[in-house]
Amino acid sequence: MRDGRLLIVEDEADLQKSLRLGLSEDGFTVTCADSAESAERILADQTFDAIVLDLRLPGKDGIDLLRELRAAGNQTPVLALTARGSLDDRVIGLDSGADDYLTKPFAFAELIARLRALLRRHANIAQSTLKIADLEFDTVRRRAARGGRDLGLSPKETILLELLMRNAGQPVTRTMIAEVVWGSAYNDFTNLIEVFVNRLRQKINDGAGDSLIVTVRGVGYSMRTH
Amino acid sequence: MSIRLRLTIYWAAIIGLILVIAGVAVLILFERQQWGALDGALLEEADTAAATISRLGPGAGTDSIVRNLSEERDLGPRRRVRIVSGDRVIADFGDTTSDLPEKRAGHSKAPDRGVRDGARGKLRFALVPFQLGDTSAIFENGVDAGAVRKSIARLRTSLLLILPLILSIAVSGGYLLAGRALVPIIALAGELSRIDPRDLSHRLDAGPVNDEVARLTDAINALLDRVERAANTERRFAADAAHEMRTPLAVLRTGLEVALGRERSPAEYSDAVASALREVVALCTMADQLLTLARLDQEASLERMRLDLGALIREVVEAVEPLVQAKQLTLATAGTGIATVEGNPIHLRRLVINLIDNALKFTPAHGRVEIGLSVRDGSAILRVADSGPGIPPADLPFIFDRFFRGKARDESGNGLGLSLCREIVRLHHGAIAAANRTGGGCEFVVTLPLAPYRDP
Repeated sequence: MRDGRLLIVEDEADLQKSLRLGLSEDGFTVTCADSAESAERILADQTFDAIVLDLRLPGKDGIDLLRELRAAGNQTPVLALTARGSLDDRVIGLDSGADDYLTKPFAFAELIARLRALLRRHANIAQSTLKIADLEFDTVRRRAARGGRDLGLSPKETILLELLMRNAGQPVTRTMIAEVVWGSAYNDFTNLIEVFVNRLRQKINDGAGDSLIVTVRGVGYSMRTH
Repeated sequence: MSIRLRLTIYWAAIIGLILVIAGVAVLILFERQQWGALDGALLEEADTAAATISRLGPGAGTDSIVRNLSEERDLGPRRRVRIVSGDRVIADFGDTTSDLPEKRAGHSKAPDRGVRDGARGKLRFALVPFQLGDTSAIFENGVDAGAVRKSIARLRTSLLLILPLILSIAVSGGYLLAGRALVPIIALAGELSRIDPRDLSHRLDAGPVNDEVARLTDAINALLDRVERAANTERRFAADAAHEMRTPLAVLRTGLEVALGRERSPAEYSDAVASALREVVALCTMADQLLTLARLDQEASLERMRLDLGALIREVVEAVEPLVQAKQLTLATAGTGIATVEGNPIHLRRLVINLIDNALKFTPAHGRVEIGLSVRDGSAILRVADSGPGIPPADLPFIFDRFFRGKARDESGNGLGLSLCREIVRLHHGAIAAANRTGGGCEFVVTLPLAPYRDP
């Protein structure tokens, strides 16, 4: 399917049901497992574009499954879910091989946005120049230009632009923006992200027609693909 | 091994050692004194006799001097007095069958003046070389030394009997005393084990004497104070949290129950679900913040490091620059460059962010925010002031309380931001205060102890 094949490893039945429904309605092909052992069996003869993995599972721990997968050379992007959200847990999760980490309870839009970002990252890894309409971003020299004219972006604005461009066509949440630009401590700083995105928007759109950065209500922001 | 036993063993070893040394010393001194007296007398007699005989020369006078001396009984019951020259015996009087001076190996020449035991261990001899006419001779003055030997042996026996006795008495006494000294500690342990975790208000009685045990008791009581306070705080926290959640839960419950109460249109259901989601999101945020608050102590103890508060403030100020620009605020920063404190970087960043977030949030467009950092008396002082509406004076004493939401506050907060600030400050052994400024707006002042100076 166009959107990707997902494996969901989650033992909480109601949550698994909702995730399956929500993600398949969003365009993904979803397979579910309710334990590490059954996930292993499934992974033995199927491949997936991404795995949503609850780190706390009955029987074998999700973390152990993750470590074993990585040790066996499986590079499928993994988004880890867990109720434990201390910084230490986050670090352990990422160190064990997760590509991203969400604490429960989370906003469903956040899950979707991060999943799509994961899949996109996996797909378009080494592009040195990103281009949308006449907006160009040189990822090596960290310079953005529109219609040939340098936009004069600050380092933080450059980071945000790259994030939006790499995920063009799909929304990026405020939390993702905060994490990437300032660090997660700033993700609920009143209005900071709104104002910052608006400023970037102004700099990009200066004189040149439609706004390339679109506000997606209830989710975040996205960059148009053309 | 118990302390009592250990102490007693050390005590026994020390006393034993002292007694052995004392006993040996007494014995040696006694021996020396006894022999010294006898030897001194023998030598004096021999010196006198030898000098006289030396003047007289060989002859009958010599013999009678020797014989007279051999009949003296004041130094002992038997005597043997001789004059020898080389192998020739010139005179020999007294008990001639008893004993002769023992031979000393390696002295082929004439011996020096001195004292010697008898070869058979019965007599004691003083030997004095002298000139008899034209030959060199030796005057041997011997006496039965049995009395001296006996009294020395008697002393040795007495000591061997008495000293162990003294040792046993001392060790028993020590053992008893050690037991007595440890009784209060054992009693303390007993009392402590009886403290019921449900009644932490119990305190131990230190007793009238201000000794080491009393100090221990005081320290334990202080610990019990802290434990009781912590337990109470925990209980209150849990109760407060549960209480706070009741309102959104009530809204949720009633809303959903009513919605499900009868058949409704899709639009009504959609409304009810949307409203339920709003409450749930609010509950999620509350749970998040409560967890952070509750976990503060645990995580804080793990990660403390030296960090520059000035650098942290500059980082936050730089990050919020877009907001300052958008609202066209004047942001005035003042302060010394470096203020090194010891603490958890994540929590301190949260503290600074919360304060500056508040200041920016409540300052209207074109307003003024002041952020200052200074160092005084070993403390770093952070000042965040805004030109907003200030805090209603009635609310001021309560703003740092958990869940406090004053009437004037906007509802985007949930009452935990400042409470978190206070907890973070407390954990770093600092203080936080808020006041309204005379020109309008309010000012927060955080004091944190500076890290101890360390050579770079």
